[in-house]
Amino acid sequence: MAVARMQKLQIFILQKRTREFLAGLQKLACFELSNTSAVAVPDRALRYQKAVDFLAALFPRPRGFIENFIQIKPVIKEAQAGMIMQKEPLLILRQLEKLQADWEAQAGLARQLQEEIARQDLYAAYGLRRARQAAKLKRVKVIFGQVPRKALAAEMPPLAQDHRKDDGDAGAGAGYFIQVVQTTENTACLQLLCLREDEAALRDSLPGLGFQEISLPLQAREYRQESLRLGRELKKTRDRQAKLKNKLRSIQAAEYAKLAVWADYLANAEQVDAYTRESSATAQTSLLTGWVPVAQKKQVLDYLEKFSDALYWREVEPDAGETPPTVLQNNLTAPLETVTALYGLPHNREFDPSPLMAPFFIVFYGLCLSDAGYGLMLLLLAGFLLWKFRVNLTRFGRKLLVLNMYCGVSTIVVGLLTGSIWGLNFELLPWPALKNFLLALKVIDPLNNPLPLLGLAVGLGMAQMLTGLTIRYILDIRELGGWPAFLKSGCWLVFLASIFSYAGAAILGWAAAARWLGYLTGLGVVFMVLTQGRHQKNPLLKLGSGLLSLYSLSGYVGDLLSYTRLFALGLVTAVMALVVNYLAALPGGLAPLGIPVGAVLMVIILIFGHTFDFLINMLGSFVHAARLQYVEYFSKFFEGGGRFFRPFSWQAKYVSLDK
Amino acid sequence: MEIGLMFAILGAALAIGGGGIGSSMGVGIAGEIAAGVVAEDPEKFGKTLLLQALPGTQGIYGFLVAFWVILKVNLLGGVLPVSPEAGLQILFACLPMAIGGLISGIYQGKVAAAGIAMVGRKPDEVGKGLIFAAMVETYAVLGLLMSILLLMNIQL
Repeated sequence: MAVARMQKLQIFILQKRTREFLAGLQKLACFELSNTSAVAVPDRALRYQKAVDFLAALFPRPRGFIENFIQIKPVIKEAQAGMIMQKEPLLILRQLEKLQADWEAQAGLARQLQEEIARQDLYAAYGLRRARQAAKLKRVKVIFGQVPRKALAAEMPPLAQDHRKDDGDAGAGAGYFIQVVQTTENTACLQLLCLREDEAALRDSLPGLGFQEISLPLQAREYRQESLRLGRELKKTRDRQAKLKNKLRSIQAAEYAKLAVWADYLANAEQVDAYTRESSATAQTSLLTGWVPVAQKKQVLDYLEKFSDALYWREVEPDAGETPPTVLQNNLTAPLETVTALYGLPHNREFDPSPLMAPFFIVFYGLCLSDAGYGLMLLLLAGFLLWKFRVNLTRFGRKLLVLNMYCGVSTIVVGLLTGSIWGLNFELLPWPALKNFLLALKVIDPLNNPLPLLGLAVGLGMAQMLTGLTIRYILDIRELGGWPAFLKSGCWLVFLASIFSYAGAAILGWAAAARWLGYLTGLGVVFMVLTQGRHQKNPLLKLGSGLLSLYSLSGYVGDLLSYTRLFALGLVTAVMALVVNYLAALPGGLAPLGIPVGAVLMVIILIFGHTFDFLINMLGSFVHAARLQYVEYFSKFFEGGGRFFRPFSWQAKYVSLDK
Repeated sequence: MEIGLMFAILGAALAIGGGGIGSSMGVGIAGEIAAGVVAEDPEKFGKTLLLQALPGTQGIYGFLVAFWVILKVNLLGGVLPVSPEAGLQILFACLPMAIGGLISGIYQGKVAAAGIAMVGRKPDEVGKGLIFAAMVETYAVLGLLMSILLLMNIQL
């Protein structure tokens, strides 16, 4: 239950051994280099990466839906990778680079041809004869172009009409003839005729009409024929592309793994090179400074020992203002680190809240999802994903799935206690033994009597708030000493505990206990009024501040009410499950012409409905259970602000290695 | 049809209508931004989908309250007699969900959209985006809770 202690080390090593040393350190993956932020200069690795990216883009791997949530790389056995590493596939790379250049050239050509064909088709609407005739006209200018059809209807004057202005005011718009040559669904091809002296004025008024000018080239071949010729050329290009693609496909099938392994290997080797270059301190020596978790120090020191003839190392203190990176160390509660990390890691002098949050988060999640059937689905789904993607998963992903398995178990427990298993009605079960067993387990019936579950939600909220305040009090005692800490947070802890106990006793009808707890709460009020204004000098202000401090109670009440969501969300899941079953039963007996349509419909509704209810509430349960930790719990004692420990290690971009 | 039952049905309609409008607007707002982010980087589909789904819950809560009313008056079986007073009570009991769902769905959609934009730049921060959006949902949950508690305690 802790933030791991970190040790800063300085290592001086002969430059000629630095590369070898760093390569080993990269495999060790427990030392964060902090004195240099070397960026690898991409060289050979980049060539491989480009080749692999090109193949991956050309032949995309079929992606399952789950890959939207988990990043999955192809898996290669380490032994196979070892064999691949024996010989660099340079010939394949060169061949592939050549084919890639070919492919890109052909693709570019195809694009150009397509664009040209589209242009020639557009020109063909006017025809080459018209273009030639227009070019011959001396006094008249013909402007070809197209407008959106809507603009034609609204803005353009009627067909072939004379719009010559009589008043001679050229600035207000030039006179012109307009002729629609062809219309398509969305656009109209036009030709505008005007006197050459009116051309400038006409052009000024055109952009407002959405007019796009087209200049028809005076070429040797008729537009339509040219378009057909280009089409034939495009087909030839496409054929060449198809042949190339077949060749590339066979390369992809046979050599992708080799290229990907080498891309990853070279990128990591180039990172070692970069650090080797950047860490040189003198003509002969390199300096490496960094952090190691104390628990792994021995491992690093043993490794340093192997280079004892070439290096000197020492432990050093952090620089002024330097904060060590954070590593969380937990065993059973390690999966909860994911929830903490989503909020922010503790800084190095703080403690790790994950274990203190673990029971609350897991129980809250169970209360929100609240159906044993869904709990089982969650448990199995998380277990399946954990097994299926055991090689691909990051440590974070693995912890998250294990956390979901914990939550699955808690959901099953809550579901059994509240009598909800896929919303089944236990009374309809054909096995009396099972029915009686499940009914015996059902201690709370939230649908008929919601108050116990609501009370449980609020009670858990009280427990979590008091735990948070206790932690705050302990931290204050360490920082300020006994009495000041009591005045700051300890008195709030006692005061709230007495209020909660009083409320509890009153609700449960324990009159005597309630009376005494009421006195204690009254005493608490007096104590708070007298002490919480202690920082003021003026006695009246002391009293005023003390009274005002009681206003903080509203915040605590708000926090407490926030826990009622556990009840509401739990009820949503359970009732939605009931509704799904109810809707599924409606077409149950439907069987026109003896075809059991109803039964099929029922199965579809059941599967779809329960899957939907499960998924949407799984998301909600996680988010709301986490929110209660962050807003109502962490706010009492936890600051965060630490940074992740990022050891110098092997970074795989393309393949996951499996042992 | 008796007036009490009509009030009750109006309550159910408002609950599902309010929650549904809030959710559809919220999911719509978030979806527009999500599509933009995914257009830039299709890999972010999963993360943006999670955020887009969040404002969808108001519709479900509204549906739940409406269904609760249906069960309460036994609309799908032999309808129970509902006095005009009880009908009005049911109508008013549905309002927390109807109004809370409508407003919170829209605002949650806006927060989810901002969270999606955040994921566009910093994909690892999806958790924080989810929590921001969940802060808004609190009020839909409280509306739902109040509607259910009120409905439970109404005598027909």
